[in-house]
Amino acid sequence: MKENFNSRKELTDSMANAIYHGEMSNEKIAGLLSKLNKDSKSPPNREAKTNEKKVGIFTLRNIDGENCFVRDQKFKADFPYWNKTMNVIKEKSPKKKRVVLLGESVARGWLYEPLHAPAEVLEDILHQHFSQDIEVVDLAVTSINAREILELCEEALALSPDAFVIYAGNNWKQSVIACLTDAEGYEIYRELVSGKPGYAVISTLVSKAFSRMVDIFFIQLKRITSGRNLEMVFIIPAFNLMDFQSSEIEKEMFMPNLKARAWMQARAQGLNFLEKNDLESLAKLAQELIDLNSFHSLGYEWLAKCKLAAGDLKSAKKLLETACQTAIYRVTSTSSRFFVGLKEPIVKNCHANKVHYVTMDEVFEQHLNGGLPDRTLFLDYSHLTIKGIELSMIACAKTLIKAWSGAEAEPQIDSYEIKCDPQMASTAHFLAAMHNNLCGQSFEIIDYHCRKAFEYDKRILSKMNAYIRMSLSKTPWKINKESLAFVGNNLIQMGMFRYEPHAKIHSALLRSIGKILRENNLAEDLDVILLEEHTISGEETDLLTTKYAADSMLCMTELLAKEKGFYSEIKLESKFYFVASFQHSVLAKLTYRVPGGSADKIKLVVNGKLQVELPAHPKWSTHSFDIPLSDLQSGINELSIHWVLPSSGTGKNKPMTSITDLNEVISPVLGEIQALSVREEEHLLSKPSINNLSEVINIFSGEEIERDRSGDLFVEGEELII
Amino acid sequence: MNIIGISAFYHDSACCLIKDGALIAAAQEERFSRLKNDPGLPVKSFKHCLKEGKISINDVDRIAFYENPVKKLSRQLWCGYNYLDPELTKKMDPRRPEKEIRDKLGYEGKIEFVDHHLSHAASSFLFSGYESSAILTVDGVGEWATTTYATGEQNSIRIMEEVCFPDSLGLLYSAITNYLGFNVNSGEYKVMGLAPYGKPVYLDLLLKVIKPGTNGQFSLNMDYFDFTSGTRMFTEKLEALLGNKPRKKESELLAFHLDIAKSLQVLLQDVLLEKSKYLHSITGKENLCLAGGVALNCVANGYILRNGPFKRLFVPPAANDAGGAQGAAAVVYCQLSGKKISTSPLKTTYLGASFSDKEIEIVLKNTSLKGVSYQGRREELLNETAKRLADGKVIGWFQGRAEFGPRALGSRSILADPRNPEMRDRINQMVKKRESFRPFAPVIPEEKCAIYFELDHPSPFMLETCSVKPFHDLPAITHVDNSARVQTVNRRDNAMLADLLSAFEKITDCPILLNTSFNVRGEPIVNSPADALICFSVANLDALVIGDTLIDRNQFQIDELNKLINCFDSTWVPVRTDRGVYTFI
Repeated sequence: MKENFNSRKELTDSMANAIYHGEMSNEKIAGLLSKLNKDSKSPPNREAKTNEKKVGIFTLRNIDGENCFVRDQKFKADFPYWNKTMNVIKEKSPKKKRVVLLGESVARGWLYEPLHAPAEVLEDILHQHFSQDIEVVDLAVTSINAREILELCEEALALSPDAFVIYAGNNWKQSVIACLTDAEGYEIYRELVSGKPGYAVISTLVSKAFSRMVDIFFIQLKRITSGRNLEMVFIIPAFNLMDFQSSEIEKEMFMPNLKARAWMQARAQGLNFLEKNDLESLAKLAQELIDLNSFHSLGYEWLAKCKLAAGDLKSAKKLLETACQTAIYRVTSTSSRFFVGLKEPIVKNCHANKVHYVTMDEVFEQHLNGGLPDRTLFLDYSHLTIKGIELSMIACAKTLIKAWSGAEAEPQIDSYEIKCDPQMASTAHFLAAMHNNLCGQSFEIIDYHCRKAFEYDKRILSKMNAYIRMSLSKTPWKINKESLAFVGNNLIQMGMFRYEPHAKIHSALLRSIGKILRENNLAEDLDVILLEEHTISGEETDLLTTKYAADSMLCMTELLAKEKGFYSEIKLESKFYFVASFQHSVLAKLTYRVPGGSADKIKLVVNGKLQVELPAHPKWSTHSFDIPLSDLQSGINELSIHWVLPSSGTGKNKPMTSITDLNEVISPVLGEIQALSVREEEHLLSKPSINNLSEVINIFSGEEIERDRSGDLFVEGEELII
Repeated sequence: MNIIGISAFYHDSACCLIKDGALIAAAQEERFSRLKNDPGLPVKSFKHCLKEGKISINDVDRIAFYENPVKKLSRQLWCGYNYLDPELTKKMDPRRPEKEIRDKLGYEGKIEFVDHHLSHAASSFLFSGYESSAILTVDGVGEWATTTYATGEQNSIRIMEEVCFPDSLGLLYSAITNYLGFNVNSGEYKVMGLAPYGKPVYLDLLLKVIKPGTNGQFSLNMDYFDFTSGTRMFTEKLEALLGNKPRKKESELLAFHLDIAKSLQVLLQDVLLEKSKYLHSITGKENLCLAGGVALNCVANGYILRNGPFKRLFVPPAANDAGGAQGAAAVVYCQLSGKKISTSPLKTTYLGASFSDKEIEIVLKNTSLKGVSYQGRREELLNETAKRLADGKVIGWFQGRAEFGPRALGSRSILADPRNPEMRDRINQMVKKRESFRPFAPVIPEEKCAIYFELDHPSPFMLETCSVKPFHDLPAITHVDNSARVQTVNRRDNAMLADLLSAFEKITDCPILLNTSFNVRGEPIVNSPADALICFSVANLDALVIGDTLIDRNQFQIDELNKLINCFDSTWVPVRTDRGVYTFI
């Protein structure tokens, strides 16, 4: 027995050693594992599958002799993603037709539901044509992906549907990427590190992945629905081309190659043209940017701006669709969106599989008389306004009516925009402002939604007031009394509040709210709160917390996705905010490194004034420096670190081990910060103190922080306007 | 010299800092992440250690990891785990600790790997203050060893013998814990608390599952166990042996279950006593240092000290895997410096996060709760607190730096009057929402301990039990077998708590308080002021003393707060693991 133990241990000891030193192939490991003469174990703690019949969060139950699907508490954690009011799905009545609506948050009517949901609108419209003999079951689920939709379709057959409406495609990015084989991934990797302009190979491979992904989806859908007498409608989503901008990360240079510096210079030049409104020069330069890196959105966005100005909507639309699609080339996260590359394969598959389809971009284009989809139809990148929902459901209803009755119908309905509850619309626009803020959108669009919210219902001011106070406070929202303003209102998407750490002391949203509150004489004490809660007087304040880092949630999610103990920056500039009393100088302390190192120097800048230049060391180094009173301003100050471009393509000499290695090439880390803190130096009293707090700051006037823009530090600029 | 110690990727991950020989910071990741028994890399604890040490990452001279990943992989392969399963490859990868330390902590310097049981041994001996000692480590499993016999001299440790996997006292205890319907890795201490209610009538049967061996050896009869599979802890044969099906979680506890618990506890104590005698025979030492998860069994600790050959016993407050971080760091420090640990004997376990009164005030002022600040009036605060305790109130106590280790020792505690016969049931049911049989511990000034308890030496870490002396009526902290898990305290190590005991004594003539951890079932002990306010709100506590502020329970205020907490909790349920098997990987 002991002998057996020892010989087995000798073998596993040598295997473990060889694996550790990378000296054993998988084939060899497999051989030895089988030699160990024991069944290989499955991972523990896997849940056993049950045979219980379910449809999503609903489980089959017999109630008073009727088989119903009932909301099951064991799926409680998923409830926020589903229809909030439907508790039971009854057995289908033989007298009624049943439509099952499946889809993502867009199909949920996100930000309006449960008071206003696409499924209800669809049912409402269909009732006009079919009287009450039709019902729509709402199975739309926020954040659902392609695979999950197919699973849900399969389960939903138990509801005996007469039609499936699938409104999806916004969350398919990962499914597309998953369709790339390892060999294709490696090919992309080689292309990227080669630094070839254009990257034609990658473009072709990604197009193939779009088609492959859609083909697989429809093959599965056909398998699931075969033999069923089902009408199917696929609603192909659209994107808010006019009013959803690239996030800060998307605006930055990525996929570095030998042309990176040329790209940066061209961008800087383009910003100048923009400022001068020299669109002719901008158009040429935009094309140059596209030629240098066809996978970056900026060139397309600028060119679209020029086309729009020239009234060429068709070309502008194509360019903005291409700009939107560049997000596919980022392996890291981005806001969910519909890629135009999916449209053609979906249409092709719909034809091949006798699935009806509605293309929302065409519906919207018709509604806008050839205009591009904008904020009147979208609350953010893809979630629809009341008008957007109305148009999509009318189009869907027309398709179903035609499928069932052969008739071309033109439903006449009262505008939902007019008859909607103003409180609901107001709340939705305020939530849209919050969401756009999390996505790093511009002050202009965020302010639009805040004001729209105010326009619909002035009572929203109390929520805005609570929100700004929660954001400035260090008390977690879960126990912050101001949060009570949002509790008990079923319109409020509490899920959005989990992004609490992304409530910054300085953001476009706070600026907008602050401005509106001030206009309504409700912001007097905000400056005092800010100073009291965030003073750095005598206390070392860690600026690496999300409260003080400038990046939006979307960027931070990307930066912090790996749960690192330090801050990784993939943009050329990292920005942080801190609150100074304007009485003392500030001591800042930074521990940083620059992966790969560079001969260039990084720059530390406060309110636009250069403080210090530091070597771009590849190893951690710590530096302290005083920020003189003359460079500070009372209230919120901006500290930024300007990183340097890597001298050569990152990852060039590293073998690719998985598709995620593409990240390193697409979005190389330009700088890392292990610690960044600030503290007011009380002993360095260099200016008479200001005792009256009300004199100190006026931060919520809606203005940007004052920055010294002289010198060549900002030559590259940072604002993109499309 | 700055040495960081890390334990991770198993359960109870933790990080500590030894700065110039002194243990100055240590914390379990769960306190920050709020994920009970968080097994991940202790990223937040690492930052805590740097902050407490006032050092940056480039001041760290070494990171010491608490086990050898190659040896561990060998054992996992031995068990038959399919290394090529992608899910397992990631978890079993022997380069994972180094890779994650580099990638996630950003550490660029040298990493040392210290064997699991050497880390345990060091966490005890190198902090014991003993010049020389025998060392016994016992746990579920590390790499291969499950039990080791060692000696310590000055600043070095020599392991003399070890018992190897799958023969493991820890896993035996865990398997029966699981049979009794409790979670592995957390339910063991419940079984220990349950044992005094039963009779050791199944001892003979349990003796069939473990065979004595020569010297320090023993072996398990693997016909009864299946923990090597990673899917279940025991076989049907064990069920047949004990004559009953395993107890379902949360189902009624029958006399049978109590008797099994008692039999198991007796078995463990007997084996440990026998092995400690063996250890004494080969070392001849007077001192014994214990460590490893089994060393948290304070009943067994007290038993082997009372009945065994050793004169003195030291058990570190974090005797479990979290303490492995501390031991690994100490080993590396001693090797590099040639010196001893300067904070030995370990006097305090207050090595975690602390919050200033200003920080507490800022968090509190934006909640619905209203408190009274006693800033600069500490005596008054203590008198008010003592008054409430004497009136039968249950109080949340949040002071200073958090404790390192699984026990709350007066920084993050719930305190109550031990004389109240209803107090135990009330705290178990209303406050901590846990099983009614679970006992509570007393805290008493060091100098008064011998008056009330059969204990002649300090017990600052609550790691041994003793009998309550006759004629003292302390029903809330006296277990059914007249035992108590005593914590002694002195003014030097915790002046605030010591003074509170004095204030309570002045009112009641009783210098003892019931002390239990400040958390509810399934949650880690509170760490931050916000955690404390949440726990205060949901745990039906009568008052909270947080820094220099006293908050009395006001139902309206609590209702407002609970409304928020429930709303947020219902929209976001953090992922938790409910362990039914030992987490090998």
